[in-house]
Amino acid sequence: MTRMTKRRNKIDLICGVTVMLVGIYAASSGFKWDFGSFRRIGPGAFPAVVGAVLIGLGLMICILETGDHDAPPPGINLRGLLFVIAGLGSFAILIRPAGMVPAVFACVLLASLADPKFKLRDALGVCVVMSVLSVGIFIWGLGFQAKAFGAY
Amino acid sequence: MMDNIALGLSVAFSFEGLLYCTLGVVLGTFVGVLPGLGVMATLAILMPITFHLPTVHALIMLSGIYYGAAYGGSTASILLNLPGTANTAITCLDGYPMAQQGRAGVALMMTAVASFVGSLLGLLILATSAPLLAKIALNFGSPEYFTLMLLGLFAAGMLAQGSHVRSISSIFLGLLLGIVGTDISSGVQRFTFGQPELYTGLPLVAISLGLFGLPEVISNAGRSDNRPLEASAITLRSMLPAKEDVRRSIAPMLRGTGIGAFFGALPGTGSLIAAFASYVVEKKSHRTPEIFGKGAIEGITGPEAANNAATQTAFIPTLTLGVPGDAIMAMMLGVMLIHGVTPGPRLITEQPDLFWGLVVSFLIGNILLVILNIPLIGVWVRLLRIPYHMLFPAILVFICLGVYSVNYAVADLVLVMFFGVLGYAMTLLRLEPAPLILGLVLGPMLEDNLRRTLMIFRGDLWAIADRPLSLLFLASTLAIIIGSILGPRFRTLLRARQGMKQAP
Repeated sequence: MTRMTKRRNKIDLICGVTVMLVGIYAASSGFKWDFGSFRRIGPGAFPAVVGAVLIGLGLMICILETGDHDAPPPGINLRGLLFVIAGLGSFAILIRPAGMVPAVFACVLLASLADPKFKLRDALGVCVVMSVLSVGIFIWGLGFQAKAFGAY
Repeated sequence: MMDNIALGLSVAFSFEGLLYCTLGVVLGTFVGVLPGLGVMATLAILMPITFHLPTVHALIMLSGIYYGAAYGGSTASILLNLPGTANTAITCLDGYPMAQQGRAGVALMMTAVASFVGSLLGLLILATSAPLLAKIALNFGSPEYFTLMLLGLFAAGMLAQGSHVRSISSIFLGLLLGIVGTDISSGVQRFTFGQPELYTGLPLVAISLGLFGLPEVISNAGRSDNRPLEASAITLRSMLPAKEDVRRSIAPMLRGTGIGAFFGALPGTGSLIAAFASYVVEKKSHRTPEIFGKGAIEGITGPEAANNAATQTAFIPTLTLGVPGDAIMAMMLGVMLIHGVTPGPRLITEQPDLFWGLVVSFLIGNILLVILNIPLIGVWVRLLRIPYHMLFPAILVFICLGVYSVNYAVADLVLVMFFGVLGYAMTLLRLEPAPLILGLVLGPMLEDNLRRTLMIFRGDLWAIADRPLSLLFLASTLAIIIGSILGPRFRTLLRARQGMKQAP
């Protein structure tokens, strides 16, 4: 068995086990709520059924799906993921206390860092254009409840 | 019939109707042409804006993006050998060789013509068959709807590309997410974790932006720009097809339309399968199948007609039954529900302005698309030179502003973050996020119809025997499941036997 197939098998196992765990969680929550009767099902019945099916599907992934795939496993772009999430987070933190322009600047700058070939000049250009567009379209055009600068 | 068309004309030809139709098809062509920017993500980004519009205009715009992208997708396939949207991957096979032979102009022209023919005939089928189907569906009760939805969900999972077990898992994860919120019949809070924001269920906008928007931004970060292209090489003169090209395309276009219309209307299948099926049919039925893959015009006009016909007929089950055939239609259905419109057999009679307005706007949109894709093709070819490192931060800003503008809630931004990470993790584990949306939107309806069905049956499952249609839907579901599990195994067995016979 090559290293490649080993890595594939590991991804498949993680996938199957995760689906099973979610299923177990759903089914056990279903049992917590009222199950009702066949004639009049309660709030617990549907989650329990969905959970049970998920457990079965997870098992099937573990057993049937390991091994041969046509495509190679997708690579992880950790840098992209982290900086894009950071960009979104900075927007969420800044929009209320600091206003739209600082939020847009932080979001664009952090997200631009997701690109390994980051160019500050280009990123600042995008910041300016996006700030003007956002304030123009959203605040003036659509009456967005936020200020360009400062808390609201 | 005439009244209906007049009503449709009055809606679609109003100033706003034309404005949002144009906006939709231009944006659709934009995302269609650019590889790396998908229809799902674009619909998700624009969904918040549509909350400020009347329902019919919102749907005119969103639909325009959907069928506009189906036109634009072939441009990058032909010029760069990179599909602009997943549905036009097939067009690479013969479109790119044509471009290498210096016939890019002809390929672009003929795909636009094929798209127009496919769309127009598909639209005709939509306008004539939807009212008929709606009439039949008027007699549907909960048992019929429950089994039909089950059929739709399993068909979507089983007929999709890639692993069936994983697609079905994704659908069921969606069903589970659809449970979040207050149970309508008992008032019990399910999976809300005491968060008041979750009492009304998970917001569709935040989930779709997280699952489709963010991964798209992440995968475009660090993407190298497209190869520079000579836009001036595509002149109107070079686009003029020879008589031979047109003659050879007529039959494939018509066959493609038929195949596309069929797969588009079927729940679970869509443009991608339609285009693929059309290619296979053209290649198998051709006198000289060797020419396929080397620039055969039949290999682009057939699948393009199929792709676009399927995009039009995909609206049939969504608008008449309220059961979406694929993830994109599920998003459309979600938008309608948010706007307070419940699609179903009564939609056409009770809101004729909506249905006929959409139909007429599709016609206008398709004519606009021909203009956008033939005389203005040079503009789009230049667009392929767009610098991705400047495009993706801009898209992220639109995602943030869009989701924040719905409720002015920071919590929604956190949900986008959460579902972005989830969507990314799912792709790493090879679980497609698209079927999840189907489950999410259909989940609450599925549970509600299951509850009513059991009430009608008085808890006796065998009562389904009195419901022939429901029984048929259930049997089809089982047939699809068994067929897709046994199908591939049976084929390998057959191949192994043939191999044994041929062996000396």
